Amino acid sequence: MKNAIRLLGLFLLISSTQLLAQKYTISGYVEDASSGERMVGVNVVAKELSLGTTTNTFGFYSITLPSSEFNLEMSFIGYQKASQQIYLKESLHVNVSLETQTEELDEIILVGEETIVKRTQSSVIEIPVQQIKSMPALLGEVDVLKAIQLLPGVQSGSEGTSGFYVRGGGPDQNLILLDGVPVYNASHLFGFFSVFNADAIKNVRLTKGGFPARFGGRLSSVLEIDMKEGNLKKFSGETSIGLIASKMTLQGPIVKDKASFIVSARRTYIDLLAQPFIMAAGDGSRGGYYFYDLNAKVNYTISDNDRLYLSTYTGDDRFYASYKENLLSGDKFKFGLGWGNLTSSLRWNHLFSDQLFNNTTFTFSQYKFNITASEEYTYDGFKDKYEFDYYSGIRDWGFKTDFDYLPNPNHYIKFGASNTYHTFMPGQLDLFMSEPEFDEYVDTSYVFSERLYSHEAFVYVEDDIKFNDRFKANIGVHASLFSVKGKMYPSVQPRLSARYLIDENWSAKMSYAEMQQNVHLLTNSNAGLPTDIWVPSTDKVKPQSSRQIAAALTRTLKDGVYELSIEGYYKTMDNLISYQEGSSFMSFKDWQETVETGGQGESFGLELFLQKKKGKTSGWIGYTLSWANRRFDNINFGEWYSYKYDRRHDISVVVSHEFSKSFDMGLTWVYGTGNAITFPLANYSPNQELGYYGNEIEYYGKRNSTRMAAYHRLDLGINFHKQKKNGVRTTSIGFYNAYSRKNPFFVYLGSDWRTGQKQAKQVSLFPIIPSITYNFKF
Amino acid sequence: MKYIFYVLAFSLLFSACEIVVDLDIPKHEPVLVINSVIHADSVFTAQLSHSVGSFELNDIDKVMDATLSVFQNEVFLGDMLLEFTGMSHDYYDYETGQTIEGDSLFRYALNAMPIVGNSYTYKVSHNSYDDVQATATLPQEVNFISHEIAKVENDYSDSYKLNLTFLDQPGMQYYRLRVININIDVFDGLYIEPAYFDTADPSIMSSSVTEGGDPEEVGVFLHDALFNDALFDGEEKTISIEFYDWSSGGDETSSSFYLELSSISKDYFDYLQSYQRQSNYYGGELFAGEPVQVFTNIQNGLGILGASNTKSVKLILPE
Repeated sequence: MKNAIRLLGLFLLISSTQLLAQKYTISGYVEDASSGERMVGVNVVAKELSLGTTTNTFGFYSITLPSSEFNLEMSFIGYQKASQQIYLKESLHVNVSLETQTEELDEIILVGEETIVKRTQSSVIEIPVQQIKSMPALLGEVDVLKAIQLLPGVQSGSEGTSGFYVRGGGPDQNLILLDGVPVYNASHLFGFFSVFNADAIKNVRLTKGGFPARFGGRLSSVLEIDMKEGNLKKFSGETSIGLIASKMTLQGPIVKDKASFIVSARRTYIDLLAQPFIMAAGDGSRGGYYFYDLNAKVNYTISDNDRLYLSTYTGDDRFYASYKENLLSGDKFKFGLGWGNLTSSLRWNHLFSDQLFNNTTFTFSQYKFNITASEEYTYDGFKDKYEFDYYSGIRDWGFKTDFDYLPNPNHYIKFGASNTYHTFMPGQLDLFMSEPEFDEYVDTSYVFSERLYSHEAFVYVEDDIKFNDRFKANIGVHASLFSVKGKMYPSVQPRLSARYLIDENWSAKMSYAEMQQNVHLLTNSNAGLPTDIWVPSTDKVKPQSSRQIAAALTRTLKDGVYELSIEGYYKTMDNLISYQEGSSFMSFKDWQETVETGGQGESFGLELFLQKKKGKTSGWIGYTLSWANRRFDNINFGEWYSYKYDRRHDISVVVSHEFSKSFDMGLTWVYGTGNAITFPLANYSPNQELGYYGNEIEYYGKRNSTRMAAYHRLDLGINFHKQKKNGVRTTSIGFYNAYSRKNPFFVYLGSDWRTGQKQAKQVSLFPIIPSITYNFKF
Repeated sequence: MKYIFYVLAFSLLFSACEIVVDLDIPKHEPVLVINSVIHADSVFTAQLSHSVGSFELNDIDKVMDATLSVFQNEVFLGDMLLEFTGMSHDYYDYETGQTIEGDSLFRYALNAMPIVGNSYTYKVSHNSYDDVQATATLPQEVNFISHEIAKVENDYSDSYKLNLTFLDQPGMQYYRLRVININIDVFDGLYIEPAYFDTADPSIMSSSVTEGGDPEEVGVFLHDALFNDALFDGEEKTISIEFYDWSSGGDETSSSFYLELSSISKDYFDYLQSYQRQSNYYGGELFAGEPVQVFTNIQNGLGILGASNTKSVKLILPE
């Protein structure tokens, strides 16, 4: 660790001495010519000097070069290359707009930045939103997280759900950032859909390992989701009507080329459609379920040096039921179950100099879950009333500042600091009871687990260093401090990624990262249920930590049309927590009394990824061979066991093909070894001293020693496009699980009702599900 | 028509399909099951049976032809012998409409008394099963100091507040607390069952598997409390409970209550605790947690060899 810090200091020193040389800087922003949106990852190359850089998350680039004359080229797949002759005798600020290569429909061709071979980092995959939107989806609802599940190293949870598990990690070990703000529960409808509305999203990037120092707080992955900024040039929109939900997105300039907005909303309407049938029953019942999302963002360019972004997301799931007996008695019953996120971020981009870019972010994130029930009875003129309100949640206020410093083409230094103030509400019940006839009144709150407040702060510095034409490395350190109720958990986490260019088409990479996670998710389900509770590290529950080493070989084929990577990894984890066997959020105890602590984890595997990024046919094939194990002192009698999502083989094939401008097709096929489950192997008698409570005991053998059947599924989607007078109409027809495979959702021990023969019974959820979606873009 | 289509489509989505599958579960060879608790005030007894694979149709049968040897501090004490203990209750079979005669009950027994602090090993051999063995040490007697009982005024049922005080031994001790209700019913005769009680004792709340709680009075509701002395090691300890007499007003001719506080071996504690957790496990995949494995200390087999030293006090209920 100390050596890593010394090494970093040395390179910072070298970089500062190079600043003294007589050089000039070209800097600026690269944007999409049609929308004015800033572009991420654009290659910026001084051709004659063979030196270059890429634009950052906010489209900013900076390159410092010796005084000379050269051709500055900006390139991005799917866009026309821009070129400008530069005679560099003073520092320049050059903003560039890139025109799309062909018509809009060609967006199906994958975009990309620096090739996989040249990038320093391994374990990073970016999926263009356009690719996600062209994939077939369950009930036609395009889902970002379900696309992420198709990447190597990423496992899905139960059938149809959008939870994901990266390299043997748990569901809480993924940091999901929406415009830089953590999203704590990314699921709708008990995990069947994610909260991200693809119409409002610009970029999706998953980091599985080799984490740069700027990331921290989770062990297994960082999923960055950037919202669109809003079209600065013209007003445009998109609307779609699907089987279960409709969406509408509007965007446009507020002040042309200076300020813009985007608003995108989605709501399901099964409840509205079902309501007439429920009302028609005429028994006073009402009920339903819906979810909605609302994304909104505005941005304002104050000057060449300053820009503000304000974005927000809110989404809720609501299940409701009510019953009113009749007008005379007035007896009423109401039940509600709701959960949702609210996130906001205010970001300020500021250019301190042409080499120093800063982004400062203020964030707010809140996740709440609650169950309410109320009853009213009228009895002998008395009105009895009972109310029940259970809620849990987490709320964050955060501040973060990030600097990009580009002293010369051989160094790209990032540093910054962050502090987040967490409020954890693990569980509280408010109870009200009024029985006037007995003179009984109760109005109380029952706190199962006290509220906890904590600060989570970190600083980081990293440098992407080019040692020579072949060797690059990203060296960094992330130092964090977590404090809760006077208990401090400091941590220093070294990070390293390196790349060696074997030739123009081949490179070898390796990475090492230590991570610490100070917050934990208490879950005992296989889906992202709203009952999952976020809790902090405390004096009894230590932070989780991990160490991961990965090595990769990458190459491009056929002039970069194909990209291939083979990557191996080994990860160890400590201080994992898990509910005690048999415990759940309904235990009505302090959560710290219901968890096993000090768990260990290990995972290792090999990932193969072949991606075709250009041409009429695009897509990828991913294969993962992996092992994931866990050990807790009080689970499985202290022995190692297979993690629930230990999946030996995982295959995904994703193909999109454009037959013509008006017709394209998508296909997805997935295969995964069956999930590991704990299934009863035998029964035996209990001790007779247990009396009549003595049910037969089920013997399970080792935890997760049984495998469900393998999972495989084919999805097909066909998109028909038609240019209309005011825009483009797209009709999408999809078939989820096209060959109607009965995939296991869960398996239980049952029996044949005629013979009594015990049987394993498998419950499957989705047979073939056809869908149709109508979309209009204007 | 459009609405009907939507409703059908949504129904299709959630019409889960169930099929019988061949599950490749690890093969389970039946093993011997020992069920025995060594009591300080009783001779050695044990029940022997065998496990049955999940997909087997066979009943769980008693094993009556095994050799069960008892060792005290590794010195042979004697072999247990099979003895007849009576008949189980007759029961009515609703399918056939006939009354089925109860089974004969047997147990293995050795006419010897255990001694506190000694360890006892059972070794069992049988022609059809692997040999099994287990060891338990009889814990010290509970140093019971006092108890107080008072009736709680309540409109709905009779309940009593009980405070009991005892002195804990230094070192980790494991306890089981029950209030045993003995009823003699005019129809069913004698029956014995543990009474339910509320408590807010932190030791019990942190160790026991509860059956709900009463939000009005912070606490838990249960009938079989398990706890250890981590919070009061070597100290005098007072526990408060409120137990319920649900027998009053029924057909019982007499009802009496006994307080039982047992010092139990750690293995027996783990067995009881994990058994309670398994019994409370709801099953099902999406909403449930992991199933609970019941602890066993039987090498090569299943079941429990526990040890318990119980202090029992008859409770005189105030009017």
